[in-house]
Amino acid sequence: MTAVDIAERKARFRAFGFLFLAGLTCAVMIIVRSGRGTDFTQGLWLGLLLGCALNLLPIKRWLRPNSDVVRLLDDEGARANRQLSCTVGFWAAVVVALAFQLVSHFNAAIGAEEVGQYVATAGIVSAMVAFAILELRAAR
Amino acid sequence: MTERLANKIKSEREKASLTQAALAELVGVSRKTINTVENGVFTPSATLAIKLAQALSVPVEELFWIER
Repeated sequence: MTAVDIAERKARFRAFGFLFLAGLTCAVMIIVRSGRGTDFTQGLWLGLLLGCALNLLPIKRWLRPNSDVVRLLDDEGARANRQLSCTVGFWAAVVVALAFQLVSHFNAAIGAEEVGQYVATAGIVSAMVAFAILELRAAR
Repeated sequence: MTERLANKIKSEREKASLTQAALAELVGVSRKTINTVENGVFTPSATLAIKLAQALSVPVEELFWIER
């Protein structure tokens, strides 16, 4: 099996992993916001979100710049997909923040913690989903 | 007026009896990058365009052209 084949398999696994992590982060956030959340679920949400954010960075390339597979996993196609997905995440966060700003005119009881959770989740999750979709579409 | 970078990588690759994976191996990128460049989804950097032209033994200006 060549490095290209290994990178192809790993990229597919990474894309499905991103979709799973994005779904899990949303599910945990729903539990937290539904009032059934505990300190553990709060911590889990934060941990998942930070994990997702770190996954969007090319950390492996920084740690192992000489690995052929890592270089293929972060070639210029993947870098372009990452850039585009981070742009999608940025705009999703802006849209959710503006929506909360609008809603706060009618419901002043919205807290900063709630807004922060929704904005951060929207930004990171949409970036991850966008990256996964772009990668899977490119691999077709 | 919209401009688009068109290419004939697929026909040149097939002429050279190369698969997408084999061409990817030659130029040092993933197969999905070759796939997206071939389909016009992704515009390659000048470096990658030159590497592709060299791997396929075709002048870069013959492999890529601007379509209006």
